Amino acid sequence: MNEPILRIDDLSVHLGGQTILEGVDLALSRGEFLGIVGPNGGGKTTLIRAIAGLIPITSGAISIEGHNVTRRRPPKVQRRIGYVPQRLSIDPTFPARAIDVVAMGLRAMHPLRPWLSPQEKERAATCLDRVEMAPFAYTPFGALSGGQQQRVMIARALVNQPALLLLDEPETGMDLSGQERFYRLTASLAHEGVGIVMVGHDIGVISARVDQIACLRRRIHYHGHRGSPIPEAVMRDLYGDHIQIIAHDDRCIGCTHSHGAAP
Amino acid sequence: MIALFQTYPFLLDAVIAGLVVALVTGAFSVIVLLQRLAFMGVGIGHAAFGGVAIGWVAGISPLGSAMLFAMGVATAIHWAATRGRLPDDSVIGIFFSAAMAFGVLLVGLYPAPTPDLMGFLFGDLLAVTHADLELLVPAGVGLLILAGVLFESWTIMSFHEDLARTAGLATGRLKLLALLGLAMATVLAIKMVGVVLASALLIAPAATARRWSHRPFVLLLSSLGVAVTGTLGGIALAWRFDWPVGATIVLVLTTLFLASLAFKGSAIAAR
Repeated sequence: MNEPILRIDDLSVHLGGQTILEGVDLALSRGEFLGIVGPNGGGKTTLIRAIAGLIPITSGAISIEGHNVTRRRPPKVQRRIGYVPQRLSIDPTFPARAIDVVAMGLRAMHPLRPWLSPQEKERAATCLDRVEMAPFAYTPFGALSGGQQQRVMIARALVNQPALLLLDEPETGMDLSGQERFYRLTASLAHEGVGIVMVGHDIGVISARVDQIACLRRRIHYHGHRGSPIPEAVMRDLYGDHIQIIAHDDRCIGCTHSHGAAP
Repeated sequence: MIALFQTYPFLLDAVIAGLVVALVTGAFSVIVLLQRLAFMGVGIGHAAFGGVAIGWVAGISPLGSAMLFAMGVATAIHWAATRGRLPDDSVIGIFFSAAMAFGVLLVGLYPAPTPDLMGFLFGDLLAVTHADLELLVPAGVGLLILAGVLFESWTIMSFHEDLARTAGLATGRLKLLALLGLAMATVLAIKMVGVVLASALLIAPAATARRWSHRPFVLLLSSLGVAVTGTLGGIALAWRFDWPVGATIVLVLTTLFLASLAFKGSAIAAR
């Protein structure tokens, strides 16, 4: 049987005396793309950070490629994770060129050897090329636009050939064409077998592109696969009664298909 | 030049001490810039006065006691900031005032006349002794080795701490080592320019070099160059015009920083 690349069982996270996540169950196979949506403060980033091993888990279990990483993370398992944090958490004035930022992902694996092998240099260049940033390889990171910086960060996450890619609002700062390129890249990565977990806000856009969608507000309110719409009651439960749901795209997992609905 | 050093052997000691301190502070100023530790440098510089006072009262080397005391304060700041989930600057503000107050209290209670207080407040490089060099040179070489070994890890951590942790770097320990190194570097700088001016040596070199450096390693080399130029230039000017050495070095570094502002190479505005 195909081992899930990520398995989360009954996960709870308490921080500062507050319950942020409660009873979360999720599983992701190789090549699957999971979108996590929900209101601000719903625990989306906390979930991504818990999977990345950045915050302690109160109860429950997380397994990556069959290894239980709930309490201890062997480096070889941890290195199978690629992580792209929220763009606003990155210092845009840091003195590094785009290629240096990508190379930092490699150097982090051997910090006592600051130089890169020719193969590593080639891999860094290939990853930049993959996110269509090769022409900007020697541009200072701070001189790039927000969307370009985000693409560099994705290249950095890819440079260690992760099995599991964690993306925290990666579309922030991307224009429409940038988003299109981004989703072409995620489709290509999924095709290669990379499992992807992505947090985002735009339910319409995300749900049209992912294989699974989870609606999170402290717990999973809804977990659907492609072809199963999010019930309107769940949307109102998550975001409140004032919202109006309009579907623009038949591929959208999360939308009730009411074409021509009044604004 | 050799004749000058033969005539005034203390000048050679001063130049050796100046070079060691310049290299150490030049390297650590990069960490200060990337980790945004400028206030930490100021804080530890002032806090070290408590250690200096202990040295006077106990009759031991004030430089050695200041180094141990500053490392203790740096550890306490790291512990309090981590445990109390408080902003670093608040914790630094509390500890540096307390440590300095402790030093003032000790000096006040000390019955004998206060030793060279001005020297520790504003530095006196020309008064460096062989005994000082015996502590200063090994400590400086040790700090340079530490900075060389950990520079890459510190750089990766400075770019984004979570990414460094995801890659398996022990960021808590790395941060503590950076603070301990900074504490020792600050105390070395105190010997050269004093408690009040030490922070300039830990900020100005990298801030100046940042104007044209687009890569951390280039920034490191440039910062070392700026620190050595400022220090040797300061010593030369002070010797030539009989100015106070510490203040002259700081003003030369400030002049280099102001000149770098004219350099348009890398004025990168935050987007």
